[in-house]
Amino acid sequence: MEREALEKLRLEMRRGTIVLAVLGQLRQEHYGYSLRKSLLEKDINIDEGTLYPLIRRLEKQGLLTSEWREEANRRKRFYRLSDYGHSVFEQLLEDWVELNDSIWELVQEEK
Amino acid sequence: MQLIESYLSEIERFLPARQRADILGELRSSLEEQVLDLAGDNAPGLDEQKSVINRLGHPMSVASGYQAQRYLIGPELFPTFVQTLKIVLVVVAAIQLAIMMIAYVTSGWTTSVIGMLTGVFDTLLWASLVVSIVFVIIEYSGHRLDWYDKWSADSLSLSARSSVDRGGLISDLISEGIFLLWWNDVLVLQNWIPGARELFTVTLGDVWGPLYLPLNLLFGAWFLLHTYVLIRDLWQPIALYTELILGAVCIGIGVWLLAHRPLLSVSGDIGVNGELIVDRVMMTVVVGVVLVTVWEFGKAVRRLMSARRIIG
Repeated sequence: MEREALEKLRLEMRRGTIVLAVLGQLRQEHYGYSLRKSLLEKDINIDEGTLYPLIRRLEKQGLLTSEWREEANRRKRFYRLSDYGHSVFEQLLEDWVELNDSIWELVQEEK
Repeated sequence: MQLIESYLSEIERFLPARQRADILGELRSSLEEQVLDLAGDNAPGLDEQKSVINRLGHPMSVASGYQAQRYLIGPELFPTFVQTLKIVLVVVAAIQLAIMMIAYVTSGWTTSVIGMLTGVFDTLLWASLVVSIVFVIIEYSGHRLDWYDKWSADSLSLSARSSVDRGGLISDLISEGIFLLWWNDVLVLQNWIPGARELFTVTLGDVWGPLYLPLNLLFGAWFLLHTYVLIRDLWQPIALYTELILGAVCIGIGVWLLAHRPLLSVSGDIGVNGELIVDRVMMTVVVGVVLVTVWEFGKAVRRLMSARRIIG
């Protein structure tokens, strides 16, 4: 039960960071599966059911651009950050660093 | 990759039509590549396809990720929906009950109990359906955002709450319900003085005649008000003001009755001073009701003042 609660909290905490991770990774071009693999290599596990709809939503919001291309005899949709996406990512990253510092400071004070 | 194709056609059924081909193309390319990755140097088979599909999960759950609007009534609107539904159902049930009582008093029961219950159930079902449809429309119109944006602390003066005495409210509801049933002859109090019925009969005096409708309206309004407060579990200022008005009307009627005696009419042999005693008993009852109402009036005033103090 305790483990279940911990997992739930962990999931909630990670949920807020997923967009940042995806935007960060899409500074380089990726298609869905390669994006998932590259995130996994950095220990960020986002299941496909969440990741694929998310990148489509980000594209709809103008943060990503995409194009269909053929690679290794397979048609794939490649995504990368748009100019607008770059500026949003920079801003989010700044916020993330500030938040991270604040949390760290807060935790140290408690110690 | 037949299994992957079957899986994709299952997902297809739940996808938004406009994006269907695009989403399926992307999923197909990703799933096939994963199967090839899993198979490595071997030829991909059913096991690899099953493994990839199982990891992704139920087709409906995959498709739901692509839906922009996932709720008929979302979490922001849901509490308001439940509250509205409760109020509407109680009001509709009360109206239905009132109609049934009037029908009984004027023409007696014409339908069976089962038929009556089915009728009530049907009405409640329709009411629920209408409320649900209205809230689905509000959800999809995005109107709820306006409500939240327009809210300010000023509105608290209209909805400051005061605590509810549930026991007191329930006993009020029971006494109001019994009074309404008796006043409309649904509940008949016979032989309430043992052995006396053969000697004399006591009925309400002529003074009560003009009060038939006013008392029905007064106690009916009280019944609805107390039911509403019990459901909301709070006394809003508007409910307290209504309680004060109804209380003042009741006190007024009580005083008027005391000034227009006799309250009861007696026929038969009641003995020396019997008529006077019966009148005194009824007068005591009316005075008791007036005093209880004055007490309740005072409680409502205190609640209102305390709610205003909270607002500051």
